Amino acid sequence: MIISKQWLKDFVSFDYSTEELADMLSLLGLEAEVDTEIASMKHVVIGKVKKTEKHPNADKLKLCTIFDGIDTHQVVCGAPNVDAGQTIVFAKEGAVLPGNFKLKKVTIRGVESNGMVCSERELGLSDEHEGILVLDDSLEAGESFTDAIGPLRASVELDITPNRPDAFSHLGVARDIAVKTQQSLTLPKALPIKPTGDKTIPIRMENAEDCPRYIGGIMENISIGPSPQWMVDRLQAAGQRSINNLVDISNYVLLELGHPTHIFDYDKLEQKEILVRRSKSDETIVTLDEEKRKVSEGQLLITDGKTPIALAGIMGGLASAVSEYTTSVLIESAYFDPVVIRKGAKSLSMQTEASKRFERGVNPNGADFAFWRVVNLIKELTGGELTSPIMDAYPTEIIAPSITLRKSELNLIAGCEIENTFIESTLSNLGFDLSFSENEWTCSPPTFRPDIEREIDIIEEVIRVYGYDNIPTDDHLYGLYRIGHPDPELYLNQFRQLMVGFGFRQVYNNSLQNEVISQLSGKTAIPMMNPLSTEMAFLRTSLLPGLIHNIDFNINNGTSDLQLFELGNVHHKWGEGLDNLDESLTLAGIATGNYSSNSVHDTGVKHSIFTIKGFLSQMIESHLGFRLELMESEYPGFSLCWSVVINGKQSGFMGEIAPTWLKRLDTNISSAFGFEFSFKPWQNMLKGKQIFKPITAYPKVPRSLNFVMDESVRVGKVLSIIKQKGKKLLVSAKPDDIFRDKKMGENKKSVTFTLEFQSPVKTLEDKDVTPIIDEIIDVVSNQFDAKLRS
Amino acid sequence: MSLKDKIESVRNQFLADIESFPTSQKEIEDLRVTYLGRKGQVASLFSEMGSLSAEERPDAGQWLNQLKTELAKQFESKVDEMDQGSSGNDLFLDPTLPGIAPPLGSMHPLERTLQEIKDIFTSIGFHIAYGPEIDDDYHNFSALNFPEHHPARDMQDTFFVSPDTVLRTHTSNVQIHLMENEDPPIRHIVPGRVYRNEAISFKSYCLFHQVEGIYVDKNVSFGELKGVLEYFVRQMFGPKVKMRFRPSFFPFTEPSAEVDIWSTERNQWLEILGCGMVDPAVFDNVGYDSSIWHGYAFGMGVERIAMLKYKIDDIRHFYQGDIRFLEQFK
Repeated sequence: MIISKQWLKDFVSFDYSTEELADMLSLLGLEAEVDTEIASMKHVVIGKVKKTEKHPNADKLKLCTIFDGIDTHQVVCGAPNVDAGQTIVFAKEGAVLPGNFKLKKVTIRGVESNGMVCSERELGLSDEHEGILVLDDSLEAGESFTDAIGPLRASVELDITPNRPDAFSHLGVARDIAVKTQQSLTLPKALPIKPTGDKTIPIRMENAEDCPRYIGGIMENISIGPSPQWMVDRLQAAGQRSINNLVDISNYVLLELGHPTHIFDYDKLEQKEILVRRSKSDETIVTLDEEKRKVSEGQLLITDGKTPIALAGIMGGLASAVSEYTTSVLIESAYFDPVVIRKGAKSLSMQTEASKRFERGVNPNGADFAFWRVVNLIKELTGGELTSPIMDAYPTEIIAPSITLRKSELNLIAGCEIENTFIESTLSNLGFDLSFSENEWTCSPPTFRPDIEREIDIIEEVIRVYGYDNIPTDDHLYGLYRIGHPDPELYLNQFRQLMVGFGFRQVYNNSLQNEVISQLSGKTAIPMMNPLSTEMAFLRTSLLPGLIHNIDFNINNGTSDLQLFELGNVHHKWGEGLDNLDESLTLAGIATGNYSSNSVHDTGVKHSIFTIKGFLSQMIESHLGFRLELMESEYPGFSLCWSVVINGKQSGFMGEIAPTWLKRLDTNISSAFGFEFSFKPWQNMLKGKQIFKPITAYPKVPRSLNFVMDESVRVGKVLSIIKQKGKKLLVSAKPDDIFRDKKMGENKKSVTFTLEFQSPVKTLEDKDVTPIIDEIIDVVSNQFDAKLRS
Repeated sequence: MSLKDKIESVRNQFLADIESFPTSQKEIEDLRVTYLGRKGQVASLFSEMGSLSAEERPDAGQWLNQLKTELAKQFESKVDEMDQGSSGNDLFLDPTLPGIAPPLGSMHPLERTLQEIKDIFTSIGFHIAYGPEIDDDYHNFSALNFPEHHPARDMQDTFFVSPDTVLRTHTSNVQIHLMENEDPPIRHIVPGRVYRNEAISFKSYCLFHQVEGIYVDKNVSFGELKGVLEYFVRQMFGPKVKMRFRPSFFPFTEPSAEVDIWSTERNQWLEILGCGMVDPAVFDNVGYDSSIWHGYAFGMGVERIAMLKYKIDDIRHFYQGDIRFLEQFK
């Protein structure tokens, strides 16, 4: 909400700059920023347009003669609305306008122009630049623009929190200033007036819970015309345009008191009656904004007994709207239930100045004050007469709760002692009724503060006004020891560190994806009911598509050797409801291009399924000491695919990213390799204690075995047989070399295995190792039809 | 030629040879063999000892031993000299060539920032708790004192999975789970990913990472909240940073505050976190007796902290996976 500084001064006096005002309000909990502050501008003055004539060489330009209080100047002006007799803002030669725009004498189409007639945008007031700014004629030529207009337009913009409906008005904001500066608040003029007639209309509420109070009053002999300049200025400063005196009054009172009122054209009401009721099915109303609206059942309406004439608390109807011909009006000042208005506005997807205030809660006991304020202004500005008594339907008065405030609780929460005198003056200036007895107060908050229902709400008020900066900071550390490592996800650090150590860079990707991408993994992705766009309508089921996009992005930006990883949650569902959703912490890595590049020292190593296998093996087997099994498998993301089984638990997949995925994700990647596994299946195994094993002092005995076997024999299978037969004495076994030669026969390969034997208790001798080797040779030869080469 | 002359001749010849000490390993070995080998010149002189008279032998033995020691010593020192300066002499080894570099990995700036935040809070007794990203309306809103039809619900644009299930809008859902499962006192921070249904721009994204903190104990005051957050801010942004507490509103804390720090570059206050005293309604919802227990809570965006710390101007950088961004964070 935009708050005019000058308007505030009607109710409270202060002498702050606009910036100081914004700061002060922010520290009271009304977050404020300077909205308009007219900087001091030299040579920018109020001017009068003496005459205008057509530019001799341009159809759309005018030659204006401007009087600046002393001299007249010839100015070329292109604004369509410039006219003789106007009071305008004149920037003289030498002036510097916002944006560092310096005015010089120029020649426009052969005619000299000395200065400029300014638009709002050129003055930094708003974005308005269709025409020049036309001012009130009472302003004197020659007066500095900053001095004349600055105070009128200075304003701050408030970001009002939902707990402060009272601050949605100039009066409410002024009240906070008055409380902080310990002054009293001056209320605007809203005196009850004696009616000159005795008209009445029946006012009925179908349900007083929806509409606890409805005030009506009839005024006649209204003459519509322009609003006075002061009102135009106020509305403009608060960001609103003036329409006419009658419409402006309702808007003015809303911004001033925060209480929305509505003015119906009395003559346009078909039935002279007000019935507030819920809508039946299939009712429609054309609202003020000329929209025909279908109202869902149960919406609160103002009707003339039969047809709807307004959406209660949201917007009036067009049929009963005031116009330039209006002479008689029905004024409405009501209080509607906040939840009813909120639900209604939501279901219609409407938010208006009125609905914003009603749904936060206006003051039920302020409806009469707002009514009289409107009546006073109509009388003053339009000559209208009140021809009915105030018709106030208020069956059950709403009263504020009575709340006990304990001094001990206040001091405990604040952490310091706050003086009784401060507490009492603050609360009574805020509008509380209070009485003190034995270290506690019985408080009754004002009904314009519906947010105050409990002791803690009052404590907040006191501390807020006391000033958070005045509460002493307690620099001590209190509390109990707590056993256990503070971070239950400590175990993840080792995986991040290993990945970084392997040369992977960590990324964070968006969890929201489009339907196709999110379902690529074959799992059912969780959709959003209200997505931002179709591109972000589902939660990811796999980290890989994001990583694939990352490498594509980087390849397109000139980096082709990439290793990236992400550690994050993926989701999927297998049914409806929270219990049928899965959230799984997942680690995924992707690699493309070279692991090491060609260099002067060496030929490079390209990424392949073997670099990925190497990372996994180092991480799971060498680092964790867990069993890693990779089993040929199928998974939509991989063309060559192995399932990753950790300590017997199926945990994920690795392989070459399927070309179909690369294509469907619209990338230019030729090949990429990756893995993805979740921690859930084996995470609890990480909790085992680490126990030191004595370092073996006895030497390792190396052996080498060379078998010729069919190309179809998988080396890994041979290796696992070797390991199995090697028993405990075999401490390592790996294939060292694969050699192919026609001399060995078609489709044959020779594989050299290097084995190391070691005993923790003695130095091994040939007689210890040879029988094992013989058994290995025997089994491998038989099982794989392999021949030992000597 | 007498033996003594022969010794002298071998010595001179050796000194001449060692003067032009070879660089290749083979030539060095040859030189050693020629003089000091089993069949080398010194050995052959020793073999001549047999033809000497008994009187001559002791002197000759002494001379020969001297020669052998001298030659060996000179040879060794020459070899050492060469080993030390070996690179300078090998034409094929060019030390100005680039090294063989392993690929370089890096931790994401959000991970680093989060780690820093965790370290600061665990250093003053906070434990860490985690919880679900998808949760029911109750844990994300109602239990945190967001009434169902209250404008406070508009404070956070929410993604709905079903009318009663949401992508959490803050990690505060975990404080409810935590208090439902544990008796007070508790003191935890809760990091995690949270979602907001907001248009993506340089300053907002559809998700971000939050660290929430909660401390519940007897006699917890706003003064303590100020103390702990001043400690955090000074650890994070430096001991001299100017900060202020400004009243605000969150449904689950009362009194509530926002913390701003002063940016000398931008010459303005920048909001960095929200906080307040735990609202008694929240205690009622989890079954803590609000007449005994008090507490404070706070929440901050990891992105916001990282953006301020590293002067990152566009939040979207975090989620792009751009190497040119990632490689900057050491």
